[in-house]
Amino acid sequence: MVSEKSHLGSQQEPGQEEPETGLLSVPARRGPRSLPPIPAASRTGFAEFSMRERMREKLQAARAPPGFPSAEEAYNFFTFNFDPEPEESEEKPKGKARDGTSQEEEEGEEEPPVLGASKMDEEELLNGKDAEDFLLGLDHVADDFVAIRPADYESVHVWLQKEKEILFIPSRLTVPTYKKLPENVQPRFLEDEGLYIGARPEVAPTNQNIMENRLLVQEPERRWFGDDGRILALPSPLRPYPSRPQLSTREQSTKAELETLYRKAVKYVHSSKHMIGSGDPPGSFQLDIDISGLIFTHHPCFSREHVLAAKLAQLYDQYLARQQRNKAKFLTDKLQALRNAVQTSLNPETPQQSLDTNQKTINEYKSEIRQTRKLRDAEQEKDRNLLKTIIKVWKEMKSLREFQRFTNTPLKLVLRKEKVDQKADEEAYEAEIQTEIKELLEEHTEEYEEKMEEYRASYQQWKAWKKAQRAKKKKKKEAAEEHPAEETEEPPRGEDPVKPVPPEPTDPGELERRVRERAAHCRRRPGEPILHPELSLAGSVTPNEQCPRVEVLRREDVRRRWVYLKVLFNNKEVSRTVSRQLSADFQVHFGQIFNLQIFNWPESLTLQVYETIGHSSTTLLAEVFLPIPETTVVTGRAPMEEVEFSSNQHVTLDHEGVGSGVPFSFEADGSNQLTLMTSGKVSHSVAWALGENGIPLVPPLSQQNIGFRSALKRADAISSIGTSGLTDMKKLAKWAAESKLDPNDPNNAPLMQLISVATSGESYVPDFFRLEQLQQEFNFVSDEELSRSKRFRLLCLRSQEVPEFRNYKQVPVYDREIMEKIFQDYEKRLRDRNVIETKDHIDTHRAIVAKYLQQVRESVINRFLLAKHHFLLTDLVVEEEVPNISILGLSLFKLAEQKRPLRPRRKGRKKVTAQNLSDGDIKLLVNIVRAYDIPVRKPPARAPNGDYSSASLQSVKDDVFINIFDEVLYDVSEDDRERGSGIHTRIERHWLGCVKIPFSTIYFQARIDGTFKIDIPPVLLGYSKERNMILERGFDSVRSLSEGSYITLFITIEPQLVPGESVREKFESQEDEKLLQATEKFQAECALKFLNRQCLTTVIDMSGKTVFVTRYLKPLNPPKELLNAYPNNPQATAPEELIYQRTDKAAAAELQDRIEKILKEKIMDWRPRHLTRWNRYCTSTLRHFLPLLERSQGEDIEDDHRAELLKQLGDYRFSGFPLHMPYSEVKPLIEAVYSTGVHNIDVPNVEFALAVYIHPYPKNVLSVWIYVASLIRNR
Amino acid sequence: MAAASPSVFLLMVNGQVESAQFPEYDDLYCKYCFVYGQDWAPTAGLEEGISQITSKSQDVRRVLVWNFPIDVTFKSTNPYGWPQIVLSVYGPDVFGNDVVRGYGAVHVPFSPGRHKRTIPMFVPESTSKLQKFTSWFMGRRPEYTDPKVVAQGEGREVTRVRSQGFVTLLFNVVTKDMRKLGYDTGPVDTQGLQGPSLP
Repeated sequence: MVSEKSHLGSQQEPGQEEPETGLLSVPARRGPRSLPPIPAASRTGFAEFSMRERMREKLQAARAPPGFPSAEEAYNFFTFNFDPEPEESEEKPKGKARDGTSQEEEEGEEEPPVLGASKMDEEELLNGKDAEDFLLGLDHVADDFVAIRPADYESVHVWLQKEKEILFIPSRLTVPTYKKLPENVQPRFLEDEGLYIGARPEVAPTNQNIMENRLLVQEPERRWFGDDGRILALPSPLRPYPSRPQLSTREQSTKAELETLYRKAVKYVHSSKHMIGSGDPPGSFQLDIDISGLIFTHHPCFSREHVLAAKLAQLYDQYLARQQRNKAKFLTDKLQALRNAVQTSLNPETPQQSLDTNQKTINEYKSEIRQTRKLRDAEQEKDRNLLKTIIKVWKEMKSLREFQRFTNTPLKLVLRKEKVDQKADEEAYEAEIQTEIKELLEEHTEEYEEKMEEYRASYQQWKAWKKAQRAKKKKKKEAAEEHPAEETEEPPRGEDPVKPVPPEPTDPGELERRVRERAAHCRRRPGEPILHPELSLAGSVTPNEQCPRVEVLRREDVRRRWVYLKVLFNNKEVSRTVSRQLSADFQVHFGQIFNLQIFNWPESLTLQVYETIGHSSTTLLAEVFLPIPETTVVTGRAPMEEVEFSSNQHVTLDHEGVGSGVPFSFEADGSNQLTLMTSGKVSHSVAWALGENGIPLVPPLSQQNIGFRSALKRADAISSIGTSGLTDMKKLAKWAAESKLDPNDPNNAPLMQLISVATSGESYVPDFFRLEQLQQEFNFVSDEELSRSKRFRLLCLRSQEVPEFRNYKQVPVYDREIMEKIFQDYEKRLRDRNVIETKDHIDTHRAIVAKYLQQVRESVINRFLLAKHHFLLTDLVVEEEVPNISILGLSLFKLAEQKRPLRPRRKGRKKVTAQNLSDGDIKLLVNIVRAYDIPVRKPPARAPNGDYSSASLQSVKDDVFINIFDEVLYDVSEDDRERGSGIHTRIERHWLGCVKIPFSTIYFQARIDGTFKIDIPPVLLGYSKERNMILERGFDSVRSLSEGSYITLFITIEPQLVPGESVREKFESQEDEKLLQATEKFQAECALKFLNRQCLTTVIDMSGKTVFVTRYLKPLNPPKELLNAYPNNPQATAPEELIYQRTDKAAAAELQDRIEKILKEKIMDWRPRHLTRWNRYCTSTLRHFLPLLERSQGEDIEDDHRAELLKQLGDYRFSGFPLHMPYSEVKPLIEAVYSTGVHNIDVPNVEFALAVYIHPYPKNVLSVWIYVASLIRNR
Repeated sequence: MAAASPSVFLLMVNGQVESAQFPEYDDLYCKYCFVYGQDWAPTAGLEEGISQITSKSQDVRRVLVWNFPIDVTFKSTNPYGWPQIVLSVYGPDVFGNDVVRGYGAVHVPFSPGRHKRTIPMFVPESTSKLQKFTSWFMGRRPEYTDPKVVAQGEGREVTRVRSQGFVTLLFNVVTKDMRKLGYDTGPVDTQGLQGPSLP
C-alpha cells in the first residue's frame, strides 16, 4: 500500500508523527508493499489507517483503568480470533458503515482522532515501546479488518467519455480533398496532363479513408499526400502476367513437358594431370616462394617529381644494363677483327688454298662487315640517345625542383667527365670515317659495276628489240602500201621494253658527307669528354615543415597507405604477406618466405597486390603472375627476380599526387598531357624446396604436362628439351646445333665444351644414374634367388593380403616345407582370370556375367581391404555421445517406469564387436510367433494337426530359409490286428512354402520383427487355402489385407552384434565438392524427417569411386513382348539404350532338359539309401501343365489342374507343388528343391515326378518352373 | 627334440606386472594380453590375465603393487610379429564407475635374460570439452574399441591421448632354437638388470 505514505505526506498532522512511527513501522510497511496494488488502494489504505488509529484509541482506553495489560496480553487481545466482545462487535459495523460513506465525510470525521492518537502515542512510547511493537505488527493481519464494500461502477457513458479523451478513432468517411491539400491549392492530376502514372496498388477505400484521416491528425504537414490529394503510392509491384511459363492445357503436351530428360552418365574425367599420382606419397612436395619486396614505378601518390624520378631511374637502369653488355664495344671489336681478317686474306703472302674459296670468304667477310657496321651504328646511336635523354630528364627534374621549391626524392645525377686526348681521339675518329668511306666506296663501286653489267645486258636486249621493231615497221609499211585496208587490223602491240637508264656513278663527296653526318649524329665528337652518369640517392628531401600544404597532404596520404600481397596457388589463396606501410620512396619491404606444401601440379602461381588506405576498404591493385620454376630450381639457388605489374585503376587525388589513369601535365598551361597507370615491380624468387636429405621436393616429371611448355620458349634449352634432356648429351647437342648457338660466345663455352667432350667420347658419361649404389653390398642373395624362394613369396603374398594367403598362419621356416600346392589355387585363379568357365553355367552368357560379377566382387573386396587401413576415430575409440534432450528425457522417463511391467518387453542387449568373436560364437535366434492363412490339408486327409513350427535354418551364410511343412502322421500298420498292441506311424512332412530372409539383413537390422508373406507355390496339391475357416477365427485385419499366407517372425542374433558399418563409403569422388556437400545435407535432412527410410544419394561405381546416384537413374521401357500383353500402352518404341535381344528358344529348351536331368540326379543323390522311381506319366502331365502356369501367372487354375491329374493318374496319394524362380544359376534351383524336403519321403513305394519348364523372355531372362511331386499309390 | 633342423623356435616369457605409479588414481586393477603376428602361436601358459584390485601403498612412494604373474610360451617360425604385451589399467572414478586409467604396450624383450620395463600409460582423450564433461559426469570415458590397438601403429593418427602414469614389468625371457634358425639376438649379460627404458 504505497498510497498510504503519500496520504500521510499530504497531511500536515500525521506528518509530525512520522519520525517515531516511521522507525517502528518499517517491518509493517514492508509486508504489504509486496502485495500488488489494487485499483481502489487509496481508499482501503485510508480505511486501514483510520482503523489502526482506532485500535490505538481502544488500547488507550483499555489502559486507562489501573492494571495495564502486559504486552503479550495486548498482542493476544488483538491478534486472537476471539469471541465477539461488546466493543469489537460494536466496532465492526461501525467500520462497515463508515466505508459506505463518502470520502470527505470519512476524513472529516477521522482527522481529529488521528491527531489525538498520535499525541497519545508519543506518551505511550515512553513506557510501552514493546507493546507498541506488537501493536504495529497488526498490519500483518490486516485481512481481518478488510472492509467489504460494493464493486465500483462507472457508467458506460463515463467510460466512453474517458476513452474519447485517450483514444483516437479515425473516421471511415472520405476526406474532402481540400483538407489534404495546402490551402487555396487546386488538386492537380498528373495523369490528365499526360504524364505516366503507374497503377496504384489496390487498397480498400475504407482502409484508405482511415489512413488518410489518421495521417491528417497525426502528421498535419500533409507530406503524405500528392498533388492530386491522394496518398502517395508507388506503382503496384505486381505484374499482370505470370513469369512462370504456362503449362498448356492439353493433356498430351502436359505430359510432354513433364517428361524427364535422360542424360547419359558421363564419367567426369578428373584433371588428374594436375594431381600427383595416387601411388606417390602425398604431401611431400614443396614450393618456396620468397617475396622480398615491391616497388612502385608509378603510383597515384607520385608527385610530378616522382614521375620524373621514376623515369630517370628507369633510364639509368637501362643505361647500366647497356653499359654492362656494352654491345657497341663488342660490335666495334668484331668489326675490327673482320677488317683484319679481310686484310690478311687479301695479303698475297698468306698461303692460298684456292682462289675460289678465298674470294668466297672475303665476300662473306665483307657482307658480315656491312651487317656489323649497321648494327654498331644503331647501338651507338641508342647509347647516345639514352645518355641525352638521361641528361634531359635530369635537367627537367632540376628545374621542377627549383620551380616547386622543394625536393621530394633523394635522387641525384652526377655526370662524371672523362677527359680524352684530343689529338688521338680526332685521329681515331677520322681513321674510322676514312675506313668507312673506303669500304662504302668499295661497296658502291661493286654495286655500280654490277648495275652497269645489268644495264649493259638490258641495253643490248632493248637494242635488239628496237632493231626488230624497226624491221617490222618497215615491212608493215610495205604491206600497207599493198593492202592499205589491212593496216587497221594490226594487232595491239605488247608493252615496249623501256630504254634502260645507265646507273649513276657514286659521288665520293656525297658519300663522305653522309658518313660524317651519321658519325656526328651517333658518335661522340672528337675531343668531347666521355660522360658517365651516376645516379645516387645522396640528395636530401625537403622536410615537411618547409613544404607547401598540398605536398604535406600528399606525404600524409602516402603514409596512410598499406600494401600486402596474397599468394594464389592454382587460383586458390594459400597465404598472404603482412600488411606493410608504403614508404616515402614507394617501396614496400616484405622479406617473407612462404613454404607451400602442394599436392597438385602447379598450374598457376599468382600474387595479388592489395592496397589499404587508412581504415577504409582494401583494393586489389594488380595481379602478378609468377612463372613456375623448372624442376632444377631449388631453394638457395634461385635468383631474385623482378616481375612487373600494372593496374588499370583511375585515381584522382586532391593534393600533389598526380593520380593514376588520369592525364596530367608538367607544363604550366597544361599542354603535353601525360597519363600514367599504377605500376610496379615485385621482387621475388620461387624455388622447389629441398627435403631433409637434400632431395628436391619436386613432383615427378611424369606429372608435368608437356603442354605447359610453349613453343615460344624454344630458345631456352631447358624449356625446349626439358630438364631431363639436360643429362642426355645427344639431345643437348642436337638442340645446340638447331638453335645455332655461337660456339665462341663465352656464355656458351661450358656448354660447348661439355657437348664436344660428350660427343667425341673422350670421357665416359654413363647413360644411367644409379640410386642407392651401395645396395648391392647389402644384398645377401641375388634377386633371382630371392624371387625363387617360396617362403619369401608366401610372405609377400600374405603381406599383400591376397585372399588365399590373407590369414595364413605360421609360414614354415624352410622352403622345403612349403608345398607347391599352396600356390596352385592362387596361380589357377590368376590364370583363370580371363578364362570363362562354362562348366558350372549352362549358357555362356551367364557364365560371362558371373565371371564379371566375380571380378567386381574381387575388386570391391580389395578396395574394402584398402579402406580398412584408413581409420576414423570411431574405429579406435569408443566415446559416448553427448546426450541430447530426447535421450535425457527418455532416461528420466525410464526412472518412472514400472519395475515389473505385466507384459515383458524385449530389452536391448550389450553389443559385441565382431572382432572379439570366434567361430561358433554367433547364434541366430528365430522365434516364430504365429502364422496366418496357412494352406489347410484337404480331406480325405485326417484331422488337421499341421505343424508349421519346424523351421530349417538352411544357410546362415546367405539366406535364412524358413520353410513351412505340414507334418502328417500316417498309420502304417499293415495289419489291423496289430493296432491294439503297437503303433506304427510314419511322419511325412509336406512342404507348404517358405520365407527367405538374407542373413545380412538380420545382421544389419540387428533384429527382424514382423509379419512376412509366405512364398507359397501357386499350386499345392492336396491343400487348399481355406479362407473361410480362418474368417471365423477372427484374424479379420490380416485376412482382409491380402490373399497370401503370413508368418510372424522375430529373428535376432545372439550375441547381438554391432551392425557392421565396416563398409564405409568414404571413397574418393570425382563429383563436384559442392554437390557432395549438398547430398550430405540432403541426406541428413532426410534422416531427420524420415527416421526409418533409407536415403541414398551416392553410390560406388565399378572403379570404387563415389558417384552421384542420379547418374544411374533412368526410366527403361519394358520389352516389347510384355507391352503387347498390354496393348493399351502407347509407348511401343524401344529405347535406344536398352536393346532387348530375343532369347534363343532352342537354347532355353536345351537348358530346360539339362536342369531337369541335374535335378533328378540330385534327388537320387539325396536318397542314397532308397530307390528313387520316376513316374514318367505323371512327369509328362506336369510338363504340359507348367506352361499353363506361366501363362496364367499361377492364378486360378488349381482346381482344373487337380481334376485333370486325378483323372489321368488315378488312385494316387499325391503331394507336390510347382516352384517358380528366376534363373541365374543352377545352384539356387537345387537348393530350393532340396529345401522343400521332397526327397525325405522314405515310403517304400513312393514315386517321384519332376518337370522343368523354362519360359524365355527377351534379354536372356528366364522364368523357371520346377514341378516336384511325390506319389504314393493308394491300396 | 634333438633334431638337426628345428622347424620352429620357442620363446618363453615369464615375469610379472610388478607395480604402477598413477599419482592421481587409486584402487586400480590391470589386464594384460599379448599381441603377436600370424606366424606366432601360444603353446603354453596364459596369454590373457586380469589382476586383483590394489590400493596405493601408504608410504611416500605411493606405489600400486600387483605382482601379477605372467607365464606364456610362444612358438614361431618368423621373428616378424614378435609378441607385444598390452596392458590396460582400470579403476573407479569419483562416482564409482569403472573407467580406464591407461593403456600401454611393449615388445617382449628379444634377448634371453631378465629385463625390467617401465611403460608409460595413456588414455584416449575426449574430442571436445563438452564430451569431456559428459564423459566425466556419466562415467563413460572414451576407450579404445580394443586394447590391442595400442600395439599397432595403424590408425593412431586419428586419436589424441593423455599420459596418466607408469607400469613396471619384469620379464624373464628364454628362447630356444633361435640361433639354429639363424636369428642371433646377441649376447646379453643375463645377470644384469636393464634399467627402465621407455618404449
